[in-house]
Amino acid sequence: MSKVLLIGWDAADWKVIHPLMDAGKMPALKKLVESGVMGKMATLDPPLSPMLWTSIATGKRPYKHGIHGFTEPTPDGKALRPIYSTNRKCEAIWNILSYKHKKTHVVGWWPSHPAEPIHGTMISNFYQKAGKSDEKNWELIQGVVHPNEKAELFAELRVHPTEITSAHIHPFVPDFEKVDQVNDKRLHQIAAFVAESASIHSAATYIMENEPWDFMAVYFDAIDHFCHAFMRYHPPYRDHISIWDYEMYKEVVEGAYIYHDMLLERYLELVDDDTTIMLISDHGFHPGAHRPMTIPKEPTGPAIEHSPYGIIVIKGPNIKKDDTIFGASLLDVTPTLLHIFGYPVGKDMDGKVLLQAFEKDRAVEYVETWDAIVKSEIAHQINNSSISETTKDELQQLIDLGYISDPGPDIEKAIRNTINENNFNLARAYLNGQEWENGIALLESLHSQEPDILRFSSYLLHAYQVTAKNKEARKLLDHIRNVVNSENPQLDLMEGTLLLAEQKPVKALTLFKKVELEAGDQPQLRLRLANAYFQLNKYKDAIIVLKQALQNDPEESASWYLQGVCQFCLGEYNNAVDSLLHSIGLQYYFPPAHYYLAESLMAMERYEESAQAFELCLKLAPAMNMARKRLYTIYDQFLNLPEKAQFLVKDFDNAIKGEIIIVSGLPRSGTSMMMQMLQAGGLEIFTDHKREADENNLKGYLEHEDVKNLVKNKTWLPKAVNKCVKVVTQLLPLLPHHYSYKIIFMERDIYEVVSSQQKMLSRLGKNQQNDTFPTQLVSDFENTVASAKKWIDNQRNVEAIYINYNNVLRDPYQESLRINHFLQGSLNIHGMTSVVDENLKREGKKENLI
Amino acid sequence: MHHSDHLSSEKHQDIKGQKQAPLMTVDGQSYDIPYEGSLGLLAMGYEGVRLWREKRNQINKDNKIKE
Repeated sequence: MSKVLLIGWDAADWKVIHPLMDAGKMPALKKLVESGVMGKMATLDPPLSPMLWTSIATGKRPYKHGIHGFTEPTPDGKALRPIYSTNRKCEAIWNILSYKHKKTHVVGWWPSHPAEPIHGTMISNFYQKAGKSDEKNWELIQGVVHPNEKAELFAELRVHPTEITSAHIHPFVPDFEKVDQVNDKRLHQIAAFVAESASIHSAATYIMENEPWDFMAVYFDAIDHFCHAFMRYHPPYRDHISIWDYEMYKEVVEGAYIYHDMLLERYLELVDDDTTIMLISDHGFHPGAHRPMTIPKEPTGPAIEHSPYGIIVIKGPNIKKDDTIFGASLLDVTPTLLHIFGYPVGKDMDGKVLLQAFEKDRAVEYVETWDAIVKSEIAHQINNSSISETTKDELQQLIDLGYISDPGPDIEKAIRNTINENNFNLARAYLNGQEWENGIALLESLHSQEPDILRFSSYLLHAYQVTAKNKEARKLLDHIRNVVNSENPQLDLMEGTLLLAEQKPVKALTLFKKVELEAGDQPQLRLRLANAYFQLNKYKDAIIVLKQALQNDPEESASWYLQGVCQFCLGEYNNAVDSLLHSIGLQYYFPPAHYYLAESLMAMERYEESAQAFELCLKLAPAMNMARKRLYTIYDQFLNLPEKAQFLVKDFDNAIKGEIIIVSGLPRSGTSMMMQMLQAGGLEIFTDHKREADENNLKGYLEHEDVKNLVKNKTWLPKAVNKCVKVVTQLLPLLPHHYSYKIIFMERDIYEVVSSQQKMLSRLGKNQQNDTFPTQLVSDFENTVASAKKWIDNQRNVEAIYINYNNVLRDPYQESLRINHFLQGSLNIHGMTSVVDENLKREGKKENLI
Repeated sequence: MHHSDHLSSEKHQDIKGQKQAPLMTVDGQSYDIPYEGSLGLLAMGYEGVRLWREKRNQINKDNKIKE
């Protein structure tokens, strides 16, 4: 069995590396790249290192692994400390390999304190920091080294910043002698970064040369630290930077990469040809025109300098040579490592095996979860309890070390802020994983506690827009305008984006053009302009704007995606495939890109490739029934694979948990009347009776409050099985795919619907524009009904019958028979018709029976 | 900044076997461990740090004796 060496370089970015490799300044990495595969590695949001490196080590998103920020309250709730690995809720790769008796060593991983009792040596991320301690009184914090008896040995291997001399600094800052070191501490920073990485490297090389090993993971944070401190001085020069600073420090970032290449060269010397080496970074770091001018003054503000793509290089016995891989995510690292070792991947992991990196294919095996198998919680608890005794001293030392800023006298406020920040990070992680309901719930809670913090409300606004909660989004945007209380292009961008969500592309386009005219190009402006053109079916205009956007930033996957969709709509399938592959190469976990790629390939009659793309799409988004339907067609009609087609059907049917009868339609299209008819016909109604009968609906609405909250709350669905529930048209696409639905869709002339709604609003005193007929509303409703019908057509688990409201009033008996036939039941037809007859007789008008 | 002060692995093997053997750079030049150390020594890992500290301590000791 071969060995695996995993090296982490926080924030390493190909945009810096490529010119250095081309100039021969990173020979070790060049050697590695030429003898293996390389690619970009997509990060996650938020791009915060403790969360990301834990996702790398577990293959799971932060809401599964439990690390949500840089700091946390201490267990007694009285102070703060850097985040501990004891917060991790699941097994890391080193736990799994230890369980499998692999000699496993980990050095410096963030976060890995306290060191876990793995089957080898673990050196935690508190190992290398010296802080204010001097060289002779540099003690090792308890829990840094496992096993503890090796603590003294590893303490000796550290390099203290005061050991760093001019000989070490000179390669980074050739003119260092001109620096006034009393007032300018930047040389001290370089000394600390060099010493810290030398300490990590010293420990790692000691283990590799003196202990048996199967898996070695070593993590360096120095590139990230060098970049945060010195990327502003990296060429090209920018006007707002002092020329003296630029000339003095312009070589530091380059020096940091070359120094790391020297460290890498040593690792290449210490491994044999049977060793697989994987070099990765968790995110990139903007080196050129995308460098921000200022850093937001907020927690995690410096993350604005991070770029969304890190690096991955793999070299090993069964790894392709001098090749490129696409679509890698940092979530893929642990699944790929497990596959290399020949172990199954956890089904609960969010990443995939990077199969394209391997020379010979081997089927990926799966287990439900490694967590149940490995169970290292007991070990975690032991470490946690041993720590509580030293917390106080340790905290002071950590403040001295500069890990965390002194929380000040108001510790309660500092703790509250930390909890909020970590919840904010968790909410962003939910949104990033498209777990919208959980993300919205957390953001709403944060927003209610801190209504003036704009980053909470901005993310909530975005989540509302994505989930089509336009009413909530509109209210929130008004609130944000009040808080900001000034003209701001960002507010106009938010407004325009909301207009797009409200399907008002003309107004949105006007607003975006205004922003462009008044404030110049803004981040994401061109993409939004293109989205407006797209909604107006002006695909060629959209493509022109997108090409400009991509010229500016060729790594913007959303622009590639939208360009691909526009090209697909224009029938330019070759171009569409090219654009969509670019998009997927940058952002693999985006099912719509796979879907349109599959559609384009299908249009080109490349059915096998199309089927692969649809399969991938379904793997990422099992609810995408349109993809399932297309895949069925390809297997059944074009590839002559009826067994695969049948398997698709069975697989889907097996997942169905029950049938729910839905009455749907626009408000005032007769949905309440239909509910009453079905109730009278003998069906059980899912209602909470909270909305009572009123003058607008004399027999009651038969609704359920939970249904209106479908976007956030789907827990009520099991209770609605075999019952009848009212769901307005707009919410239909939110119904989960693991139930089957029989939809009775009420139709009524849209003008009648709008008139009826206007009258109802007048009666409620809510209509302020009685004299103006809202023609835009008619068009909006027509679009809503059309898209709902399209959605219904594409769902395998949905059957629908369309019932015209006026036909029911004209001939309730005949329509009741149709409905009974549709439901294959024995409904009480007389009961159903009598609901209509009695009301008509009593009221003499039809309007009160909607 | 360049790689020229990176030390050769072959020489490193010599060092492990015979600690008095002089270090060599990757260019094949002999390398006398400087008192101030170097990035190349740090890049060698724990052995480089150990050799540098030995040299540094020896020079410090010699200087003390001279004083």
